[in-house]
Amino acid sequence: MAQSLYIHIPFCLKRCAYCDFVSGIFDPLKADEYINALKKEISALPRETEFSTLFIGGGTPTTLSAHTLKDLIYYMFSHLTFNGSYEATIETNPGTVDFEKLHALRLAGINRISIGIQSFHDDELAFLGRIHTAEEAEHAVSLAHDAGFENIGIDLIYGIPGQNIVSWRKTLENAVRLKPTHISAYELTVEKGTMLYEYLKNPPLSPFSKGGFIESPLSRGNIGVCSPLWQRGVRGDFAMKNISKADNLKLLDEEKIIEMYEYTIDYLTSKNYIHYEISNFALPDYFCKHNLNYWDRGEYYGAGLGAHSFIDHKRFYNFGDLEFYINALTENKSPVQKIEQITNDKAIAETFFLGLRKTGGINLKTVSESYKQDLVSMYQNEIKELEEAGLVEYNSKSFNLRLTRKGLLLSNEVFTKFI
Amino acid sequence: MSGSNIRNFSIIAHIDHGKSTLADRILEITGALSQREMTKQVLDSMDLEQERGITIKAHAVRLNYTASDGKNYILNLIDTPGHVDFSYEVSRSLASCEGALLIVDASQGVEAQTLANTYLAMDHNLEIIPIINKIDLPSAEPERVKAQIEEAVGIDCSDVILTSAKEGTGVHDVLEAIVRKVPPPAGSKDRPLKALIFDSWFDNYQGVIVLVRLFDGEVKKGSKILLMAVQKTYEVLEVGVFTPHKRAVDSLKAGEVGYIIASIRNVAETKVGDTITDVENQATEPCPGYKDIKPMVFSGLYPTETNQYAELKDALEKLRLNDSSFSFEPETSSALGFGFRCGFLGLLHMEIIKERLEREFQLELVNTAPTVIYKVIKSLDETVYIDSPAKLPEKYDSIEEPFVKVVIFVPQKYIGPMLELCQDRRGVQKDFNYIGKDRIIVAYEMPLNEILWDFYDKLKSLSSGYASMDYEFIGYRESQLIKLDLLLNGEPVDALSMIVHRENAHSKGRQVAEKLREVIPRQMFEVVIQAAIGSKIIARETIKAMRKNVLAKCYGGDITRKRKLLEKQKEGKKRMKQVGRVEVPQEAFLAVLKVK
Repeated sequence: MAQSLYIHIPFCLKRCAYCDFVSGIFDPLKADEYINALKKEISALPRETEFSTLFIGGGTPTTLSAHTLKDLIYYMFSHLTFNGSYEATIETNPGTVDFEKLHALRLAGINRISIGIQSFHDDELAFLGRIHTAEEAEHAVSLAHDAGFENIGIDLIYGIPGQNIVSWRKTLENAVRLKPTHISAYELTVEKGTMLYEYLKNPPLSPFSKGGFIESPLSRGNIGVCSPLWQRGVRGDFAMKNISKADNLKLLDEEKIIEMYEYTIDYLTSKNYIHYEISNFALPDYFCKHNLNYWDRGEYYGAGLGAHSFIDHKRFYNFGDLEFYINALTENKSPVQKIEQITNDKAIAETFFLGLRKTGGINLKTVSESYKQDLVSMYQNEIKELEEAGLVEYNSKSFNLRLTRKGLLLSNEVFTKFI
Repeated sequence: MSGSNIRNFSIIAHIDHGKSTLADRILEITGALSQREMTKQVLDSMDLEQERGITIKAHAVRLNYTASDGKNYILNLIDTPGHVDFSYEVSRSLASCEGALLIVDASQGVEAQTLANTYLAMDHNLEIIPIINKIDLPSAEPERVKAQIEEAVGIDCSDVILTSAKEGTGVHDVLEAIVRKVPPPAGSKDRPLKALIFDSWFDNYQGVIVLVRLFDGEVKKGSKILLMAVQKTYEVLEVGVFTPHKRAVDSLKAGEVGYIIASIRNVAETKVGDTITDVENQATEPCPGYKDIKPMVFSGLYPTETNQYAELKDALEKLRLNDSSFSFEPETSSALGFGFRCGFLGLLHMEIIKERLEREFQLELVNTAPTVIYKVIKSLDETVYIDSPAKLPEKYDSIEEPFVKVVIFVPQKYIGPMLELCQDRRGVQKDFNYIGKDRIIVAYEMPLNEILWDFYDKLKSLSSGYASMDYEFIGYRESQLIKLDLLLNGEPVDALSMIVHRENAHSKGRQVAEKLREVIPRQMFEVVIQAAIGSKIIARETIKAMRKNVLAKCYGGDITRKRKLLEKQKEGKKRMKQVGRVEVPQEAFLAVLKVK
């Protein structure tokens, strides 16, 4: 099974409205301190482990300079072992890349790039609080091509307030035209503590029809220069006061979301993308190995602020507070905040709710063997019930259990049966 | 010590007028408890009672007091339950006394329970000592309240005592008044034993402990006693008093208050109001006023998880050891499986029992909408009583339902909405009087069923909390009642059936169906809710099938969080009751009560 490494870069030029990841506003001096601490953490990882995937995520890793990135990547490659066919991904925001930076990354050994495009409509991008336009996003993809990236993934979001099926189709068509190897299409989710959450909780009072689109939750407060916050989400800095006009906007109806999701599957598969996980599509041979490892419950190390690891039946994660993290490593202390032992029961539950996210499903015989429990007979009633409801398919010859198309949308209903 | 030094008294008050606080002060001043032992409101010892600020179980405390005349007195304070559900128990406590302290809040004035309890006390010819409490409050108006007591209650208030139990003001005057005004007990220790049971409870080590007031005779260890109503005999193992610490004494004599232990295993045998006498030397007649008190309100209690049935049975048996006023018998519902039909004195009583079952025995319970006992006249010579809508026979001549007389006190400015509420609840006005300039006392006769659930809450909210009420059972009367059924996906759910007045049936059916649509979560399939009278469908609602419940993202950092989220969803499902294929939350079974 794959051994993966995740590196977290908690800096962005601006926080997006929906984002609840561990990140704050980029500050070059803080970033330098952080990179030093991060290198220290990396140096403590076992040298003999042979990694097959690397994922540099954020935040926005490419807020860092080409020089800093190159230096960090060289450091990793020289301190750790990677196998011959490794996959090394970096996340980018189209507003933070140029040819030089991308070229440097490619030369340093990064062979996959994940570009956060989200939408090909400027009004939707503005609502989400993205720092780039659709045109810039498109340009970023061609820059990545030019810089030598052949494996390019793009991220898209549907279910944005104000969005409709027509605009979403256009986004998908635009995406396919750029010929990425991988497309992730996520439903917009509203997490507590995000600006979007606050916006929807206290919708603006007066209607607004400028340009037929809505004002971003971001444009309502002085968020562009929001203070660096390296915890999850934002706190009280989302000023609700100086709102004069904005549409009284809500999340889209469930029916619309379902329509968008179903369309996504139909359209992308018709364009030869394989729907291999609930929200992920790829050309053959271009599935994201790093993410597959999560769903297969493979082990992984995570380094950096708030990063999670799963090693030796334990899940653990680092401090999410930047000062805490830096101080811990400066004092040669562990940055780990909490460790959770994964018991056999938890492991089985995880196997179901992670493994079944893959459209290929899981093999109950293999799983039963690895946990020394006959899951087929243990869950025979649940499986039967779910089959009757049309949510799963079970092949008693091959022991393959997987979600049906209907089951994808109701996957939590399936997963809770195995928790 | 002779009977002339004894004073037996109760405290009567409307809820929250300061009864417990005054009791505490009296205990403190007479030195019954040291400061250190004084936890707030000692007499209300059950947690639930303290939380709800009401007294459920009666207690009796013997106090020693040296009065200003220099003599030593024994004061027996007999506490009374403070809620309408327990009015019979209150009456037995009062029957054990010669006097009562009537506490009225200095700013709130006379309330429904003040009146109800005072009338009870008058019925027992008690000497009533009026007290106006909470005079420390800025809003206190002792003069106004004094006039109110004289006018509404008809008690002379020329020497009313003003107290602040909280601050201790006036408590000495209260004790002096008890000594001076409350007559000493009559009766003689030479006559045959005659003791009134006013409370009993089960103790794990000693069996049933009975609280009694002796009117005649004497009882001691070794006495052979007879419980006159239940006709059972026992040998006394111990007698004693509470000070409030339990203390054994050699004997209890006429006029005294104390406890008897006689290896009785079951509280059902020690009925409040029964008379204890001597087997060899029996009293000619028992104490007057004994009633075999019967539950008024019935509800089905079912374990959420069917495998908790045995545990529920066990828990009910344990609780009944201590509370003979509720009943239970096995009941089977096609929707809810195996459970119990339980009878309670009133709604508060029901809530207390349910809460204790859930809290003390860790049970997850579903309770069905409470109902009264209906009297069904099947034919000229066949009458049945039913405690559940499911038991209504197919054919019958008529149905009678229990009626109560409800007495309500309300400030004049809330009279409009109050009358409307009573009207809505099929009430018939019987009395309407002004008390002073701005308060009104009204009496209504209405079906008990109509005040079962939210009547009191509604009354409180429409009067900004100022209205108060009391009720008493007055008998069965014929009403135009029919059975309303609720169906889920075509299947009638017996636990949701109810008996309603013909005129309200349609609107009730519609409202309940709507309410069910709100509280039943979406399922994997469409759920059709129907309300029906007989075979006629009168309302229909649909819950669309759930189509989406998915987490868009799940990567390395999220796994524990996502697992917890799924566990929470799973937990939520567990708390629901599977009716056919439909998962129904607990609150749905009470939905019938949440409609107008």
